[in-house]
Formats: sequence, structure tokens, C-alpha cells
Amino acid sequence: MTRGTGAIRGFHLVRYGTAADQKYLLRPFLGTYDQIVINANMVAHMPGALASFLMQRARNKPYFIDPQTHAFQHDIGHLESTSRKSAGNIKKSIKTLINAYGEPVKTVIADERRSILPADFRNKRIFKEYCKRVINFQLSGISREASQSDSAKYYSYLKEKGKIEQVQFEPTVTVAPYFYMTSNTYSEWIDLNIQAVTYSKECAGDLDVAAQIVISKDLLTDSELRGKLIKAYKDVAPSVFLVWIDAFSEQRVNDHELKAFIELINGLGGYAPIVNLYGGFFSIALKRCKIANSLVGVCHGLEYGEHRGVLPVGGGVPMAKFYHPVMHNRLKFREAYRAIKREGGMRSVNDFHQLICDCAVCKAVIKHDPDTDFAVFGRSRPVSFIRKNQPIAIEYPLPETKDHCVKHYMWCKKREYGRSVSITSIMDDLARAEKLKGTLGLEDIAYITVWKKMLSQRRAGN
Amino acid sequence: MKSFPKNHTNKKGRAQGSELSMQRSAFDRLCGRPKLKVACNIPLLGRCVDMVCMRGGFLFTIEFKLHDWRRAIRQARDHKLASDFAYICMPKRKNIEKLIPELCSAGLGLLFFDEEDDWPFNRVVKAPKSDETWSMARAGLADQLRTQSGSWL
Repeated sequence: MTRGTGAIRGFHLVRYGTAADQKYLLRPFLGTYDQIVINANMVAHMPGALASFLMQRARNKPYFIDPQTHAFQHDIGHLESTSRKSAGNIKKSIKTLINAYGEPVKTVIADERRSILPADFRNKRIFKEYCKRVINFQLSGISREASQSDSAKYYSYLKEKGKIEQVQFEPTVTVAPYFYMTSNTYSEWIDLNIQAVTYSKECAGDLDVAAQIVISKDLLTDSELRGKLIKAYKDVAPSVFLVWIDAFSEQRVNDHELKAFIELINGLGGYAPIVNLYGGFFSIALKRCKIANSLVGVCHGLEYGEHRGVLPVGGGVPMAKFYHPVMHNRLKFREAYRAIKREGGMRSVNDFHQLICDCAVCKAVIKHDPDTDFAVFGRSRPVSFIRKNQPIAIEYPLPETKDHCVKHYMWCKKREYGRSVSITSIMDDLARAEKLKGTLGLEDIAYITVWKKMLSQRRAGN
Repeated sequence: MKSFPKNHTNKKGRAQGSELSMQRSAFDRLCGRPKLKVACNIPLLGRCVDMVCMRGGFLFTIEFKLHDWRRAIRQARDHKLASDFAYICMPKRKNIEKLIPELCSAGLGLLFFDEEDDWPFNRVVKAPKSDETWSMARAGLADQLRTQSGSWL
């Protein structure tokens, strides 16, 4: 493993969220992105399957693991299983993580059944050992299984023959333990976060270590605290910063929050390159418009993964959504239909492919009459029932609906991350999307105006 | 199916008081009428339509609301993608100066709920024919109505 650029292998990162995501990370999408981010609980849950996925099917795709150490600082109810059989017990994958990470988490969560506090890390020796185990888990979690596989032997053979440059079973970068900070808890956690990076670097030796910064929007927008945070990380010199702002939807936040985000990126960028762990097109545009040059990667998940709350937001009913390539946003199916019709995309197959999307999925689906064929992106199964004496009627997207929507999304992402996307084309897209105000309503379009303003102001150097 | 919650009843023993009771009362009075198909609580493009009726080959959707007519307009506007005529239904009210122009510009009709009569609606504003009907969505809604006609849920 090398320092610096070796930690992050490209601008387009995808989060492997659930086992069902696998098929969208393999061919024909395997070549559309650069690196995979895997949650530690997934590694704990199915290390063998992940090893075989990465080595065999994903052809030695570079990856790193998010150790999810913030999970232990919230109400432990979030760590408990909700299934009927084992309700109230700590989830199996979390138990595995707890055992791997050891003290103080083991005693606090498993025995005392409470969430972790800063005081639990007061003992430096224990904290240092904890960092070491978190790093070791990332290094060995998948690689131990991977190095023992048949594919590993094959890759080693190819390397010996000079047919491939390197075989990598380990993650490209290890992530120091981290704790979530809000403006109220910043002062409690910041020193531990910094210390965790320092200890992890000591344990990791020559290996790359990333500092993951997970903060709330109120901390982000507090200019004084933001300045303090940037300053605090100045001397730890990680290989890369991994930034995650809690529930930071680029389409929902205001210009003040976007401005603060840019300032955070550019502030930290003075010390190390940055990956936005949950980002969408606005983050990509920041890089393309040369506003955030230190941004070396933007990561997204497959369905709702361009923003994420630190705590699970809870189930909710999945809805069929269509990623609108010009609006760079997932639209409810009915809104997508309206927007496309307004743009003239329903007039003919040719118009749809020219004006809306000509990805492989849209070409396969929109073949005869877009007005009829487009229904494929919204097919669902109606379900009605009574809950608390109220009649409820909802629609569950069919598996093939989800399949079409996710595949279309992945092709759109490939295009967005593509180097051919120019500043002019970004601005043209946004200007076009702005015209849908009358069809979709101001509320759903307002972010376009905010993005345009932010990108053009920043480019002009204001 | 669980029993329907009745807030209180009027002198004819009909439920009144909540959106749900208004909807149920209208449904009970419409059910079984010749040449009229009716069903309630039908999912449609991510929304739930309170009532769908078909008469004379036309599809009607109705959104019941006690007070929040702005929300009703937002919901009923989406019904226009699948129906021929979309209405909102409210208890009789005097102050409708603000409501009428908004309804007209959204292309919706207004019904007042009639507690007493056999026919549960008084039409206040006639809905124009929807200019947004999407044939696929309409076919889907008509299909659901065919299979669920006469069902509350």
C-alpha cells in the first residue's frame, strides 16, 4: 500500500450497503466506478461472502471499510435486533464487531448495556489498544478470507507472470475510530477523535490511515466551531479525510449550509485530500467547477445513498423513484412522468432518448411509445390494510421496477462522474431543470437555483 | 375488516365528525347504486385516493378533507394523472373565496358533503375534464376499481 493517492483509487466510490446491492456493483457496472466502501457490520456479518465477491466477481476491486465506531455512542436501542425471535438482543453482526473491537466497548455495551461515553476512553492504554483492534479488524476482516481463496492463488499466479500489476487483499486505506459530533458534543469528542487518528497511525505503521469526520449540520454551520475543527485536524496529517455530514441532502439543504460545506472541504483540503462519504451531483460539480480541488472522491449508495442520517431513519415504505438526469435527483414516479412530459420526452422514442436519457436501460425499456413504456419504471403492487383504525393503501415497487430504476441510476452516475462533463454542460443542465418550476412546484426545484448560484458565485471567486 | 370508528352520528344514524367518517358515510350511500362503481382507499402513483367512482364510462376521484383544503388540492392534483375528473369533498362551509380560484387554477372540482340526503354530495364547482390524464395510470386505476368495486379497502 502506498501513501497519498494510493488510498483512494478514483473519484467515483460506491457504498456496498446490503447483500442485495451486489448485482449492481458487478458487470456491466463494475467498470463504471473506482472503489467500494463497505460497512464494518457487513464485514462482521458475511466476511467469506464479501471476500469471494471482491476477489472473484468484482475482480480485486479496491475497497476500504467504514468501522462504524460511532454506532456505540448512540442509544443502544439502535444496536438491538427488532426481529420477533431475538427482539432486545444486540444484533449478531454488532456482537461480532464488539468482540473484535474489545474494550471498552465490550464491557459498556455488552455488560453494562449503555452507550459509550468519552470518559470510557480516559485510560490511554485501553484507548490505544482499542484503536489497534479497530485497525486490525479492517486489515484482516476480509483479507484473511480473501488470501485463502482459490481466486487469490490465481491472482498471485497472474502477478508472477506479469499479467497484472498488483494483488491487493487488504483495504487501500484503514480508517481510525471516530465519534459523531454535534455543536453540543464537539468539545467532549474532538480530542478523542484527534487522539484516535494519532494512535491509529502509530498502530498502522506504513499503512494509510484516514480520519473520518462525522458531524451534524449545526456544527457544520457554526463558523467558529467549524474553524476550530479544521484547526484541530491540522496536525494529525491523515492520508485522507472522509467527511460525512449527518442527513446532508444536497437537494434539501440551504445555501448557507452548502457554503459551510464548501468552506469545510476547502479548509480541511489544506492538510489532506477529502472524500465526501455521502454525496451527489453537487459534490461532483464542486470538483468539476474547480471549487473544491481537494475533493478526491464522492461516494454514493444505490437507492437512497446520496445522503444518510447518522442514526437509522427507520424503514419507511420504498417508493418507485426515477433518477432524472437533468435534475440530478430521484423523483417520485408521478413527478418524473410530469417532468418528462413537460420536456417533450414523451413525444417519441427518439425525443425520450435525446432529451431525457439514452442509457442502456432506457434504450431497452423505451422502445415503442415512451408514454406507455415509461410505466415500467413505476410498476407496483397495491396493498391495503387497516392500521390503528385507519385504512392504509400503499404501493410496493415490484422487484423488476427496482431493478430498472437502480440500473438506470448507475448509468446516470457513470455519466455524471465522467470526465467529459464540463462546467458549461453542468450550468446548461441546471438552467434546463430550473424551467420545470411550473410543473413540479417551487419547493422541489428551489435547490437548482441554489446550486446554480453557489457554483457560479464560487467560480467567480466570491 | 375491523369495524368502522364512528365519532358520533346524526339524526339518521349516519357517522359524522372526521374525514374518515365522512368518507365512510358517502361510501355506504353510494354502494349498490346501479350504473355506479365505487371503491375506497385505492393506491395511485404513491398517493392513496379516498374514493374512486366510475359512471358513464368516466372515472372520478374524490379527496375528503375537513379543513386543510390546500393539502387536499395538492393531493387531488395528482389524482388528475389517472382520473377524468378530480374533486375534493368538504363539509359545507361559507368562506370559500380563497378556495375557489385555487381549485379552478388546479383544474379541480368541489363537493360539499351532505349529511342528510341519500346522495352524499352537493356539487359546488364542476371539475373540468383532466388535461393531464395518463392513459397507463388511468387504465391501472380503472383496473383496480373493476376488481375492488364495492369494497371499502
